[in-house]
Amino acid sequence: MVQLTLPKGSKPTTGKVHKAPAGAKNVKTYKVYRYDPEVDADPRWDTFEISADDHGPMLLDALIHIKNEIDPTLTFRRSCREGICGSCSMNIDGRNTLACTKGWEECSSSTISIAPLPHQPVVKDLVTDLTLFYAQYDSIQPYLQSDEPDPETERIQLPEDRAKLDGLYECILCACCSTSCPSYWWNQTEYLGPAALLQSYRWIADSRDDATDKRLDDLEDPFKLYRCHTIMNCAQVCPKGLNPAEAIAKTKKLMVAPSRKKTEAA
Amino acid sequence: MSRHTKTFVKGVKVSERHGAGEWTAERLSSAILVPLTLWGLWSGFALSGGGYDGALAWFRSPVNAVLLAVTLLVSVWHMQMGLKVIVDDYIHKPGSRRALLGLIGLLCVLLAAAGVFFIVRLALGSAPLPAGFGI
Repeated sequence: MVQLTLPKGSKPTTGKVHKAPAGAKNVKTYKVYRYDPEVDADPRWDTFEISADDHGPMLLDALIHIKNEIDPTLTFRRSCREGICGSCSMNIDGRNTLACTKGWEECSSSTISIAPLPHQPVVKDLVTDLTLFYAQYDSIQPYLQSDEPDPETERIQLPEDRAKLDGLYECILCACCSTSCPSYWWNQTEYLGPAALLQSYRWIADSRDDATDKRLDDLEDPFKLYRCHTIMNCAQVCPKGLNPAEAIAKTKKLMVAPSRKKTEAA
Repeated sequence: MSRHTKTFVKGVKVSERHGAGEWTAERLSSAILVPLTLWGLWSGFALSGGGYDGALAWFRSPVNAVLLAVTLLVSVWHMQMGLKVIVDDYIHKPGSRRALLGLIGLLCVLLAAAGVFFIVRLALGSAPLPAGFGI
């Protein structure tokens, strides 16, 4: 059955409260999820009151400020700080997004919650274990497979064929979509999730790739592909504005297209 | 690979190589049910003034009886597929899943059989229940 209650040791308790210094202006309150599975029995919500005047405009700036000035043990991933590496994906104010492209002014709540991506094992604080997510990406063979011999120069593609990859190639694998998907929450061991399926369609849609039939065969499964019930959380949260649900719908249409030829099972 | 065998490579499931047929069946049954449901609703409203005898007369029309039987069978088929999706989504213990799917299948067959039985009886002009049962 579905677990309707959180397992023991996963209910966050109230943690430390770091008050803003007296006289601080433009104070914002952040509720940050803290958990070190090796030490802590339970996770906790730590509260940080910080002046927005002390840091830059993004949530990542606030987190870096907390780590530098208040609590150096706070753990999170970050790298590019411009929305292209996908490292700082987390659940901010109840919605998965990138901390580096989300401005604190965009958050409506008086207390802004910052939690790790939902339904993933927590390594520490805001860092989750994405091993399965990456294995799923690896499994869709995310590289060009052509029957043509390797050309001397680049493989030529018509502008209109190249345009078919717009809205697909931009995916940065931040996992915001997959970890916002209820179907992925319940069945991630068998369902590939929106990110891997969007990436798979990126190669299916590529005019230079000749492995379409094999790719479709590898996806045709009641769970790997068909657990998508068009809930659309993926498209709602994608920080790059992509629509994985649409890519999945197109894959489902190709599954029943007359042009499809089934390949021999391995 | 045989159907319903689950194998995993590096933690990721290997395709069972079916699912498109089920997907097509879900959509096909939905599409068939759109006109049939509208027809069913329209017929129900049209019958409202006719009383019990009017309803019996309605069933004796072969067109009505056949369309109603088709509506019932497609509805039950569609319901069975929908319930299977729900069980597959939320019930993760293989034994519980198999048991529930078996129960759903059995109930659907019983529902379809009972419905067709009564439609055929009414279409042939018999009382809804055989002699000796009920009123």
